[in-house]
Amino acid sequence: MSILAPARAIAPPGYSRWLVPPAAIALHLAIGQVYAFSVLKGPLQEHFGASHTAIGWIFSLAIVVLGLTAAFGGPLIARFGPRKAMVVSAVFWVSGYLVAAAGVALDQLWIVYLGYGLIGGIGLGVGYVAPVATLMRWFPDKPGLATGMAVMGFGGGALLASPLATAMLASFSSPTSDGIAATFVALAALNAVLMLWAASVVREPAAGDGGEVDSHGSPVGGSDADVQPRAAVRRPTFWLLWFVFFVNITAGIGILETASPMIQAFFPQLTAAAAAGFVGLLSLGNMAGRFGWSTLSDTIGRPATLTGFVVGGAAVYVTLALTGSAAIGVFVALAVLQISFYGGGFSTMPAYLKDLYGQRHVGVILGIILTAWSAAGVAGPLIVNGIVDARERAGIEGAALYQPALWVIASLLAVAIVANAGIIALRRREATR
Amino acid sequence: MSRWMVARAVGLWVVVVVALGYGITMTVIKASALF
Repeated sequence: MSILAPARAIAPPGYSRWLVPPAAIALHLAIGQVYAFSVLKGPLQEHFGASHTAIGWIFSLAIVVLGLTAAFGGPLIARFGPRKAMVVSAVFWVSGYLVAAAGVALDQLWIVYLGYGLIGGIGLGVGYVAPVATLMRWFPDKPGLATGMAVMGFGGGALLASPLATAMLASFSSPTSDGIAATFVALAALNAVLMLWAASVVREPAAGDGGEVDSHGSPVGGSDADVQPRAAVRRPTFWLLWFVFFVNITAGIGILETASPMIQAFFPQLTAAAAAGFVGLLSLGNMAGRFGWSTLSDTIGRPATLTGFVVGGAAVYVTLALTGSAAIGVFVALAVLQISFYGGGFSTMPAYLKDLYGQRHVGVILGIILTAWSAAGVAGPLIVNGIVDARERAGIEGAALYQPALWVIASLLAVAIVANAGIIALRRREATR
Repeated sequence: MSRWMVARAVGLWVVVVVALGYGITMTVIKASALF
């Protein structure tokens, strides 16, 4: 039997479920490094003499391919089982770095698109879902904690890779080289070790005997409530949830994507270093939200948690639009809170899908709903940058540059509040169908 | 369940905690420039 066969990854009797989370966190730490791309953006622009947009597309392509791979490859990835999915993800993610390194060495930007964007993006899509679904099977009594741990790793990837890539670029650069290709190769090697180690550690619980049971004593691995992915996407709750997820991500990206220039527009006295400090705080809020909110959702319930994201988000955006430039402390606190909602959405969503559609197909359904991430990755920057660019051309400066964009996102959140109420109203009816 | 299997998992816990600790510390240092 192949070492990658799903049966080889089934845990032996007595295996502690606390030995499984590091595999999920480590894999997400590796693929989450995509969010540290901004560190490489400046050096790549200089290397290729390319525009912000041209280099920005490398990251956007990776996120779009992530969503498409998770959505359309979901059933195949589910058949792989977690270990094979992790190995396939490692092969693509690491190859993506290596191909991108070749692109930099050969001065061919299209090879970087192909490597980091397309090949790497497939690695992201294959690797994202499997660890989340596996941890949920081990922690059926605490699905929010399980998804929080896994998805926290994704947020942590940026925290890890930003200083690491900065240090690597500094150490590999020389009078004859900017060090980018060597940095890509070093990150590839590091991620290969981390991801393959994670794949060797991951285990599936044995169904029934030896497997975990949930808080009601039911064996892990499915129930009568399991809904097929095709049936799930025909339910109105799925699309309402998709919309709420989309708006929550758009609201996060609205701040994240433009954090540094935004805070400097609201508070012109701030230095660039202080603005970079603000970006760092947002990263911490993102990671804390991923773990904290979904863990809390195990206690207060997923509907209440999601209601908190959209109602709280609308309040944050309205306050920022009305009084954002009044006090820097309030601005920073509100922005960090909003980014924690953004992170919390990613970790609460898989657990919510499990609540609504059962455990068995949650990985495939999660893959489909991740298309909301791809859509928001395009919509969020378009809304904010489009409005800011237009007002800048009109000669407007300071906080007023951003106010209409804040109102647009607040309005989207208001619609999401209605959609969220619809989910709560409809879920009971769907459950009894 | 072999000791080697458990050692790999515990070792990975250590790596994960150290990596997250490094990332968080570096980010807190960066964020402190705001205050």
